[in-house]
Amino acid sequence: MAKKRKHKGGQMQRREARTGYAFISIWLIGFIFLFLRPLCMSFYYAFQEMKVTQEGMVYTYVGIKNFIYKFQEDIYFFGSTVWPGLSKFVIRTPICVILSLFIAIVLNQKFHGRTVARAVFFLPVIITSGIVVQLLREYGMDTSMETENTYLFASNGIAEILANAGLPQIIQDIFTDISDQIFDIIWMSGIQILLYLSGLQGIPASEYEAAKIEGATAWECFWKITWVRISPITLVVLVYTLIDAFTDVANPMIKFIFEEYQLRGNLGGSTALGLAYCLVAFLIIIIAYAIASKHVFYVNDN
Amino acid sequence: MKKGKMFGRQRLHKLTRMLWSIARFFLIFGLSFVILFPLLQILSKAFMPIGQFLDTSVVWIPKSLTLNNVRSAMSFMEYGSGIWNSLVLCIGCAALQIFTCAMTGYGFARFRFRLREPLFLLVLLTIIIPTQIIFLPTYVQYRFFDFFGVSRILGMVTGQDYTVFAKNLIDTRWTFWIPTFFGVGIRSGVFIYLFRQCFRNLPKELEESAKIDGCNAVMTYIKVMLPNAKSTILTVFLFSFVWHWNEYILVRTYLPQNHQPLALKLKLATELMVGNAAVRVNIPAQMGITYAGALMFILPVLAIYIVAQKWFVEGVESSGIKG
Repeated sequence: MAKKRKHKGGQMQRREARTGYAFISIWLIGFIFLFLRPLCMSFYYAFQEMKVTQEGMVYTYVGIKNFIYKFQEDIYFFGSTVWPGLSKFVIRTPICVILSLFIAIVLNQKFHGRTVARAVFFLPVIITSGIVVQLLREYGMDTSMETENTYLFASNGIAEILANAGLPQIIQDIFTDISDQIFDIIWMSGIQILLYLSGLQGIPASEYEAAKIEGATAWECFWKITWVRISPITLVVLVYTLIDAFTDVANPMIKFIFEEYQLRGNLGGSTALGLAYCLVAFLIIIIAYAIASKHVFYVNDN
Repeated sequence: MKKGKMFGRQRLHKLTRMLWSIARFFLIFGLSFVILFPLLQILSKAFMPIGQFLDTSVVWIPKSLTLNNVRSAMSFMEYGSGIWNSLVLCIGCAALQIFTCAMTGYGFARFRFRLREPLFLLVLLTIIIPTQIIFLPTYVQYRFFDFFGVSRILGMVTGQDYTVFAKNLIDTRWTFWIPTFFGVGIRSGVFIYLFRQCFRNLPKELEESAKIDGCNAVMTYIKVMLPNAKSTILTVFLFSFVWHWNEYILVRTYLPQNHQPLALKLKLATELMVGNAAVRVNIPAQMGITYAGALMFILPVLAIYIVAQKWFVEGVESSGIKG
C-alpha cells in the first residue's frame, strides 16, 4: 500500500514536471535559438574579420586583433572611452540607490497631492532611456542655451557658493560632480523608486506599531525595520541600476560600440570590444551582488 | 505634573511634524521641477516662433505662439505613417510579450521540476546581458533566418549552402515578432520575473479548487490564474508598450527602410537636419523642429500615461515585486 502510494506520488510529480516544462517550452526554445546561439556566435565573431556580401558572411580569422586594435590606434582610447564608460556611471549607482529609497519613503507617507507627486516621479519611467532624453541631453542641457534657468543646473553656481563657504577643494569637487549629474540621476531613478515603493508597501504596519509601543524613534524604526525589510529590494535595485548604467545609450562605451558598427562597419571590432566590455561589467555586477547579498535579510513568509 | 510633561512632548512632536511637512514640500517641489524642467522646456520651445529663440527677453513664455515648428516637425518625421508603425509594433509586441512571459512566469512559479532553479537563473541572465552584445549575431541570424535550424538541415540533406533556404527578415516586423513571441524580446526577462512573482503570491487553494472542478492545467491557467493577474498584465502591457515606443537602436538595425516607427523617424529627422550627429550647429530653426518633434513623439505616450497612471502605480504595487 505504502509502496503504491509512493509510486503514485512519483507519477504525479513527473506529470507536474512535464506540465511545468510545457509552460516554459516556448521561452526555452527562444532562449536556445535566439539568445544562447547568438551569444556563442558573438564569441566566434570576436576573433574574425567579417564582411556582409550578397552570398552571406565572409569570415577571416584574425586572432585577438579585434580586441586590441583600438588601443593601438588611439592611445587615449582607454582614458577617453573605456574608463568613463565603466566608472562615471558606476559612481552614480550608490547615489541613485540612496536617493530613490529616500524619495520612495517620502512618497509613501500620507500628504496632500501625493498622487500628483507620484505621477511626476514616475514620468521618467515613461520617457527614460528613450530618444527624447538623448535629444534633451544634446540640446536642452547645452551650454549655448544657458539661460537663468539652466544656470541652476550648471555646477558653477553651486561651486561659487561652496567656494565662498570656504570648503576644501575635494568636497567642492564631489558636490559639483553630483550637482552636474543630478538631472541624469533623478531621471534614471524612476524604476528604482517604483520598486522601493512597492517594497515599502509590503512591510506590515504591525511591525512599526509594535516598535512604537516599545518606544523606538523614527530613526531606529528606519534602521531596524525598513532598512532590514527592504534589503532584498535594495539588492534588486542595485543590480538593476548597474545594468542600466552599463547599457545606457549615453554611456561612451556603448556609444562607441554602436558607432564602430553603424558608421564604420567594423563588425568584428564592435563585437569583440562589446564582449570584453560586457565581461568586465558583468564582473563588477557579480562583485557588487556578492558584497550586497551578504547583508540581505529574507523574511520567509510563504 | 505628569500631564504637563506629556503635553509638552506632544507639542514638540507636532512641531517636528510640521517642520518635516514643510521640508517635504520643498523637497518634492524641487525634485519635481528637475523632472518637469525639460518637459516644460519642450512645451515652451515647441510653440515659440524661431525668431524669439535668441531673444534674451523671452525665457519661458513666448511672446506669440506658432504652429510652424510642429508642422515642419510633422512633415520631417512623416508623422502619420510613423505613428501607425509605432502603434502596430508596440501593441503587437506588448501582446506577444504578455502571452509568453505570463506563461513562462506561471511555469516557473507553480510547478516543481528539476531544472527549475538553473533555468530561472538563465532568465535572469537574459536581463543582465544587454542586447547590445548579441545584437550583431542576431542581425546575421535574421538576415539569413534559418527557421531554428530547419534550413541548415535542408542544406545538409540537399548538399547546398543553407543560405539558399534561409530567408531575409531584415526590414520586416518579424525581427520583432519572433523574439518577443519566444520570450527573448526587449526586457522580456523582467516581465517573466514580474509574472513569476505575481503568480507565486496567489493562494494555492485557487488551483486546488479548479482541479476539483475538473479543470486541467491549461484551463486552470486561463480561467483561474490569468484573471487574478490582471493588474500585472496591465503593468506589463504599459511597460512593454512604452519601452518599445522609445526603442530606436534595435529598430534602426532591424527596420532600416520599411515600417520605421516614430522614434527612428524622429532620430533620423534630427540627424538629417544637423547633417552629422557629431556636429552640433545650434540654429534656432533646427531646435524648434527638434523640440516640436520631441513633443509630438511623447504626446501619445504621455496621454496614455495620464489616463493609465492610476492603475500603473497600483499594478506595480499589488504585483508585490519582492527580491
